[in-house]
This record gives sequence, C-alpha cells and structure tokens, in this order.
Amino acid sequence: MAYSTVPKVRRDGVIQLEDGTGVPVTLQIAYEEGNFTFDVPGGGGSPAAQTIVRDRGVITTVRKGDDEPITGSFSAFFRQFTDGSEAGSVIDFITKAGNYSGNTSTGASGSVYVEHYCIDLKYEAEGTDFGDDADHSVTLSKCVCTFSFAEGDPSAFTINFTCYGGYTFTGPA
Amino acid sequence: MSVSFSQLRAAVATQIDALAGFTESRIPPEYFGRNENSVAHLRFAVALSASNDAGERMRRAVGVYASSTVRVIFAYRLRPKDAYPTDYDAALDTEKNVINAVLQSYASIEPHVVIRYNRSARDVTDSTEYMIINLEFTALHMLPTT
Repeated sequence: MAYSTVPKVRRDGVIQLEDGTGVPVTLQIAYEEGNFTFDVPGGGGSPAAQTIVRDRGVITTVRKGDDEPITGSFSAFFRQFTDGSEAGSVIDFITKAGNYSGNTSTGASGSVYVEHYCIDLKYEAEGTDFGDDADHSVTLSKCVCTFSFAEGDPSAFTINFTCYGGYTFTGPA
Repeated sequence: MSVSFSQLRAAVATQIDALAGFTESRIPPEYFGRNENSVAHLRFAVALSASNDAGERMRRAVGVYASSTVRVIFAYRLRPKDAYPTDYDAALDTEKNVINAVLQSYASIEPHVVIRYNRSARDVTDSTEYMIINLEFTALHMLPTT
C-alpha cells in the first residue's frame, strides 16, 4: 500500500513503559498532555557526535566523536505520587517503587550495561484506523528516567529520560 | 471516571441545594430574573456557560479532559427596613456559604470533579428588593467520549 497520507496527531499517540521482565510489566500513560519528545544525537544513523576539524575557520574534516545517548521528555498529570498495590503510578514505574518495586531493569543485561534502574519507552501512533498498513512505533531502550513536579491546574510531572540502548522503529514492512 | 456536562451541573446544584433555604430555580439561569418575587429568596440556578479542552492528549479510550466554566446565580431578599447594611451583609455572608458549598468534596456526588472559584459579580435590582449574586467557577472533569 502507499506511504501513509495521514499526519498523526496527539490523539493518535500512546506512551507505554516496559520493564525488563521476560513478559514485560507495562504501563500505558493516561492523563497526559501529549508532548512526548525525543532527540537522536549524532547523525547519519550513527550515535557518534560530529567532531568538526577546521583549518583557520574552514571546515576540512568531520570525524565521528563520542557516542551520545538519546534524550527526551514527556509530561503526565499528577493523580497520585505512589500506590503500593494498584498499578498506574508513572513515578513508581520509573523509580522501581510501590506497586512496581518488583520490576526488572532493562539495563541489567545485554549491551550496554547500565547500573541505574532502566526501562524501555515505547511510543505508538495509530495507523491502521486511517488505512495505514500498520501502526507506527518507536522503542527507546535502556532509559534512565528523572522527574520534576510542578503545581498547576492540573498539577503535572515532567519525566526526562536518557536512553543508552538506542531506538527501534516499527511500521509497515 | 467520566463526568458529563449535565452530571457536572447537577453535582454543583446538589451542593448548593443542601444549604438551608436554597431551592433550585425552575427557570434557566439565563432568564433567572424572571423568577417570581414570592419564591425568589435563595432561589438559585447553575449554568455551564463554556467548556474548553484542558490540554490532555485526548486519546479515544480516555476521553476529553475538559475545563468548564460553571456559573452559579442566586437571589437574596433585602427587607425594606433592613436592606442596607444588615441584609446586604447577610447576602454577602450567604455568598460565602455558597462558595464554600461549591468547593466542597464531590466524592459522594460525582468523584473526579475538581473545582476552583474564579470571581463574583453582585447587583441589586432597581426595586432594591433583591440582591442578585453571580459566582463563577472553573471545573476540571473528564468528559466521556464513548
């Protein structure tokens, strides 16, 4: 089928957190603004930074520098900080606390090893509802998350993440 | 988890109706002044004058997170010999009670409603018989889409 002709909007997206268990523990984020962002550094499909070499100000060579991690953020409205028995707390999930204290880090095995507790972040955009051959997703692997909190109407968390395992896109074959 | 517009309006009316002496008007809030004088004292009406998207992603499975402007209007009778300042102050105290009632918890009526007070506007009728008080609130609620 032809390449999709339907630009996707916030309503089409869903963010899902996944841990490193064989059958992953997952949490779909609800009550959120829909402002998921991620930045893939480097260039040309490589995570390596661009090291620019100049000769008296004129670019002569560009070399691959150090690999850089993917970074990004999203926000979610505040409903609870934590819950010891019920699923739903994004903060519990990213900090391995409360109901999610038994989660397994996605950074504990495989390459790259990450000592911090990591999760995978999956963003999926609806496609088949609009005639696309498949839905569209990106999975960011081995993400270490931090968060901040701000009061407002409504109050909200901002979750920032740094991902050391790269990204994987899925879509029509 | 969802609260429709009508459920929100009814929930606010329930809070006010619980106040001593208050009864809900049979006339829409936009025509509140047409209540008969004989029953106007502590008559009230609740209007949802506007609603807006509250900035949520709005996934089909979740619904619409809405911010609705709730307007409460009620009348307080000013007795001829005590219109000012006795009854005028009593009307202001009653207004405070209405605000307090509207801001109470909705857990037993419609959970998932969060409401804030915005402003008041007060007017005395030309006959000086009634003080008409308009209160405005903003409610956050999840509107069902299924």
